[in-house]
Amino acid sequence: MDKPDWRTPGVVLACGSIILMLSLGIRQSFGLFLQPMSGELGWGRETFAFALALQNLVWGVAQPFAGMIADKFGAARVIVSAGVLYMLGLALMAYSETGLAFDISAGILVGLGLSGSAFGVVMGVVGRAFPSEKRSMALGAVGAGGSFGQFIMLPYGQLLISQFGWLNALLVLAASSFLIVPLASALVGRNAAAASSSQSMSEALREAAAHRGFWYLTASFLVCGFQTLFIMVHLPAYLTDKGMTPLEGMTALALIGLFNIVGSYLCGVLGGYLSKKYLLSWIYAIRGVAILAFVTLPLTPWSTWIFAAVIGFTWLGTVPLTNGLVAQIFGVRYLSTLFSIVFLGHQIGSFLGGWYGGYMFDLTGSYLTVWMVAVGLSVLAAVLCLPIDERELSTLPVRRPAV
Amino acid sequence: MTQSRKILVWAMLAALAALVAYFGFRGYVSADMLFNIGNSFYC
Repeated sequence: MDKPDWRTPGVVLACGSIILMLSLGIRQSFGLFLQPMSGELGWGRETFAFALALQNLVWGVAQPFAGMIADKFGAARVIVSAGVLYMLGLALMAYSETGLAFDISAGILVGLGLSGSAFGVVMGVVGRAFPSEKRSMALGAVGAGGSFGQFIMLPYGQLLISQFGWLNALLVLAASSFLIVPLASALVGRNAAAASSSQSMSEALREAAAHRGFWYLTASFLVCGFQTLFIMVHLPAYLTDKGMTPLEGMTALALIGLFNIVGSYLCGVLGGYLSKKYLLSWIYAIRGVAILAFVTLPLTPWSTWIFAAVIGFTWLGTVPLTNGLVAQIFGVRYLSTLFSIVFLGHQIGSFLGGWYGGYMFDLTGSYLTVWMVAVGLSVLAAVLCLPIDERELSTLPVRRPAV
Repeated sequence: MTQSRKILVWAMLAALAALVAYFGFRGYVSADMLFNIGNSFYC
């Protein structure tokens, strides 16, 4: 008699969550190394910032390829390779003495590691492991795992730096990232959706490209990337400029992290009951109102913390909904590939949000223009989600380009 | 799993989550973190 497969949906969900927790969380702590590394190695801030911007771009560009390889040859292989690259990147970061070495380690190797161990690949496996009625909840739960990592790894990284110094802290993080490799064994398995579908990858790509909703999702996800990276990178500086203390600023960042965990999960759960496109539209609208209120009303610690809680709640809630919508419309066979392309939009937005924030601040001495752009983009994203046709393509009578 | 055991497991998980949230939050506002973040704007 065959032994029952230990890779139950629950095990896939738990291991996928821990993988996301490690890959997204470790990356979240990189900002803490800016001051000690730049100070000791004599780098300017731009050397460090360029490598992290490069990392975001490499992550975004490599993600669709990682998704394609995962859909074709199995996600576990991609995750194992990514775990090794991530670990190598972190270990080499510790011994980088020049900007170029840091670009290769922190920028390229860690970026490649992220592309194979973060949202696209892991969520593809989790999405396939659950039936459609439970999929959104499962994606929300795995997203909450990533959010939890983002919340907890920042103080963990600081603890390591304080106790062991930045070099040893990076080596400990490298060792931690290696846990991704054994955890990937839970995500081994055949793409069961492949058996029930004769569609080739190029057909799936053509089908998605012809669906206007796919591009609306990509564009709205670009807005998500713009807003989250701008806030993550520039909010502490904005608060400091406005006379708030580091304690108040860090409380705001902690609130974003904490509410992000709850928001990711709840958005996933709600996506199982309500229309995902309307939920996405609401998220972008809420973000727009929150940003507008934050920059126009008098700034106090409480207004900042309420803003942080609202933004945190909507922070990664877009991920299970966007991923769930791709699965709902196009099916799960090429979920990693298609979501990874949508995610490329997110990473382009991230790059623009980080860069444009700094550029406009240098140009005008204020972040006000960027905040207003973020509000305008919120409105645009909220509107773009509305006309998406959420119906599953395979159930439509005739396959035709849909809105 | 019996109903009472389920409740116990969920209560333990909730307590664990509360503990992690508390210590995580304290980590964000620790002296070392504030010093590092404050300094990162001047390097």
